[in-house]
Amino acid sequence: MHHMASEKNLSELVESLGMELRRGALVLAVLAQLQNEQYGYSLKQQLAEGGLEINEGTLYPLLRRLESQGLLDSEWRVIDEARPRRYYRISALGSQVLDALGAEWEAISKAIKAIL
Amino acid sequence: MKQEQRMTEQTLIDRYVFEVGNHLPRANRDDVLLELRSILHDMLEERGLEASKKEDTDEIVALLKEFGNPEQVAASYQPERYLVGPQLFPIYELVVMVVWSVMTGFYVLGLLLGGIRGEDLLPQLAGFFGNYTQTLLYTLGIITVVFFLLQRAGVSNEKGSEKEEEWDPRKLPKVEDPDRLKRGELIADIVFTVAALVVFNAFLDQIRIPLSINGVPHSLTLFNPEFKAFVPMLSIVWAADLALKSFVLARGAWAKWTRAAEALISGAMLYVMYRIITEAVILDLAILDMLIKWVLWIVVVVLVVDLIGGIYRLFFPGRNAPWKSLRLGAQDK
Repeated sequence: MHHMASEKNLSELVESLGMELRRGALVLAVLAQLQNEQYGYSLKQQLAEGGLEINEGTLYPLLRRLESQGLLDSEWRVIDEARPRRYYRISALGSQVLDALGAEWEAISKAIKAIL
Repeated sequence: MKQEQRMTEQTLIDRYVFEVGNHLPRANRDDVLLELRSILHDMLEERGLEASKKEDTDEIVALLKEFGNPEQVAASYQPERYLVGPQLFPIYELVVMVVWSVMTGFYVLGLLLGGIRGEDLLPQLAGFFGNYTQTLLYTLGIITVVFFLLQRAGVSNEKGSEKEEEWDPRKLPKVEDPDRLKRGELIADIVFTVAALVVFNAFLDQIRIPLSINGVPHSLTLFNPEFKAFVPMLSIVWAADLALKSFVLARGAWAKWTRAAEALISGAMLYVMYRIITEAVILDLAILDMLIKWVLWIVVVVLVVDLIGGIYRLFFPGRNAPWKSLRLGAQDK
């Protein structure tokens, strides 16, 4: 019984710790991807094509947060169709942050690889 | 019929968006909902669905389920909110613990004294728990509301970051071993107890208030006879305390049973003090009497808290000096 409980615990732990691990990396991916203007759903698809499947409930609020931090710019636009979409693009501040975070990512990934 | 079907299909997205909106703050609700709707339509389109077609209803349901529970979706748009955040929580916890201990001490003391004085405990117990729970909830409620308001006002324990710069490990307080004998304290205790025994038994009437009535010097005794009646009882407790402290001083260390005896004597002292405060006029001057009783009440509270701590340490001795066992463990190896 103890064993079963610990197995369930394991998967729960891996899931929650994995989510924590991805959360920081996701910011980096979003900033990098938004060097070209995107609307929410197209961004999600692009990230998915690149191998990053992201929950809707995580991505769209994240865009809002990054915008409120001044890392993204956004505007509503109607292109081709009648339906408006909100387009996001990295801001000047966002670009600086992206550069710094990119270097940080390289350092972390090198260090972790060496440790693992 | 056709109209009605279209209604249900159309409103599924509408209802979803509306429900998410119900859980969002008003500030930028419309904007978030507009984007949400736009994203949902993008998703529908991607799957070759149209929000207005009947045969797509199951797929729409599946899509919305995939998107997530409206409440959770709304929550993810908001920063984490706290009743009392992690910055304030340690202070909150401290305040709650102090208030809770003092209150519990008061109530338990009242109950015990009632029992000692021969009052019927059973009806008291029922009232005790009702009253105790009510007062406790009320007090903790107010404390929580105050902290919630502080939290909302953005007050945080920000000094923590300033402290970090000045923080000096050498200024950390020394870990005290509660069983270590503090000779100085013990000797002072003994001296004061002896002095009190002598003064209260031999010279109580000599403590007088000088007065002059019509130019003729007079004096009044300070202590009321009602108080004097309690002096023998008080003296017994002091004598017991004196004996114990002298023994501990001679023995060189506290032990479990001497700690227990100390707690017992403290309890007896509390009982005598409570009786004096509630039953006797202590000082002949009414204002001074009231004043001294207030002071004694405070002393009683301090003693009760001290006593509770002492009893706790008696039952959980290890928790006071975990470093002791750690160090011993290291030495054993």
